[in-house]
Amino acid sequence: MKELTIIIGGGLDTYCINCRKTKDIVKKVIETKYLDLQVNYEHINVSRPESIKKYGHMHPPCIIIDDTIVHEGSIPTESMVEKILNHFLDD
Amino acid sequence: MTKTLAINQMSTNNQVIEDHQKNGIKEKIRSYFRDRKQKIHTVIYFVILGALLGYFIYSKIMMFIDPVPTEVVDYSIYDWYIIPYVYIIDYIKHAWNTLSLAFMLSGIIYEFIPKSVVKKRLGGGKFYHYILAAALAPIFITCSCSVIPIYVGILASGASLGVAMTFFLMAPAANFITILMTGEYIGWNLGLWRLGGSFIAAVVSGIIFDRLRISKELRKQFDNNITHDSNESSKVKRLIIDKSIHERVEIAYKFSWDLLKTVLPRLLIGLVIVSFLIAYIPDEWIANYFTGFLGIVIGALLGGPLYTPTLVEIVVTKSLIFKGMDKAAALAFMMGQPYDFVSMVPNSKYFKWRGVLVYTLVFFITSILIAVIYSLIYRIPL
Repeated sequence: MKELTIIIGGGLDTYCINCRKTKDIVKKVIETKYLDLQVNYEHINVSRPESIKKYGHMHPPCIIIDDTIVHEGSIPTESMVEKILNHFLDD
Repeated sequence: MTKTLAINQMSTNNQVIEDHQKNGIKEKIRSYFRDRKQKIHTVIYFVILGALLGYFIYSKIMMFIDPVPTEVVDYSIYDWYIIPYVYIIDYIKHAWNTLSLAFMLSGIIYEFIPKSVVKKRLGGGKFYHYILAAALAPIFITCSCSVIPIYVGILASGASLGVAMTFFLMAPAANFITILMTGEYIGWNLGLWRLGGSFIAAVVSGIIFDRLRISKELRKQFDNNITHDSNESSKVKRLIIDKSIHERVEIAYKFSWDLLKTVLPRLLIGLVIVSFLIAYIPDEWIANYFTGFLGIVIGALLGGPLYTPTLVEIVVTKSLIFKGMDKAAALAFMMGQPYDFVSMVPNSKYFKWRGVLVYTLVFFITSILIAVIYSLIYRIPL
């Protein structure tokens, strides 16, 4: 059982519609392909100073895994999410 | 007892291995079909894009060779409940090509132009930064929750507040759909004048705003909130995944589709309202209040407070021109879009009310000036 924390970054304090879609796509890919992956979802507001100090400037909707910005600027497709997750599970 | 257990275990082991093998084959089949599906989708996307573009070019050429005069339609002859229906059908007949093209192209611009281009080029306060901000604004069609991050991004790259203001003023006027629809539906003449006028007004607003003390104060405030040491920023890693053309097409197509789903209901409601206005506003009103110099001033005054979603505004303007509004007054009306009341509230957060006042005045005066110049050039009586 591998554990992963996936942070979805958006422009507001709550999930805006694009972030929600991103989260749904990630969830769907994990639930169909990576059943033995334990995932924690978090949300951050990328326009807040704390986030900018930590990650620099990001373009929402973005995904951060393990302190690495893995995707930013658009809602990812399922195949892209797979590639990203494969990268993290192979390491 | 042990033997049976052993045999049971063996059979379970065998079963497990068989399942894995089956999964392997199933997976291969599934991924084969998924790849085919992706490729087919990409091809279909480009075929549709090509067809729309082809028809667009073809119809432009035909209009050039053999121009068709616009027919005058009087909508008041229909029963009131038929009016919106007829109007919308007419609209779709004229605009389907441009509208679909505009949405598809927005998706392409969204996906295929890297957003980091802005981050690299806008720092400092030199003159050309304002021009660049105004020129790049069309690229940034994004969801409303991205406005703050874009603002932060522009400032973080070192640009001054005035540059950010120029950007935000050009973005609604210069986004791709607006340009295409204005040109197509109202006329490229008016469309380009509107673009040029908004460009000038936006750049001037930015420059003036930067001369004010408030701009430097806001800048200092921003820098204080967001100081990050270079140590910290080097800790941030970025993972760059290669995006295949199929994935990019999928993102572009989904963006276009989402945009359509958001815009279309508002467009339809706007069209319904406009259809009633067109049918029932008496022509004398238009002749009295929307022509000549008075028309220009009234156009500039109305264009601001009258909050209309972009595409609706284009339809309203076209209909008013239809009923006899001067083109110069229409120009002043269209240029008034940035200072509508609804966007003043969020803008006051970024630029304070002084900033809002600056751009409102600049746009108001520029609209009138440019409209007057237009009437002088095109011999429209003032």
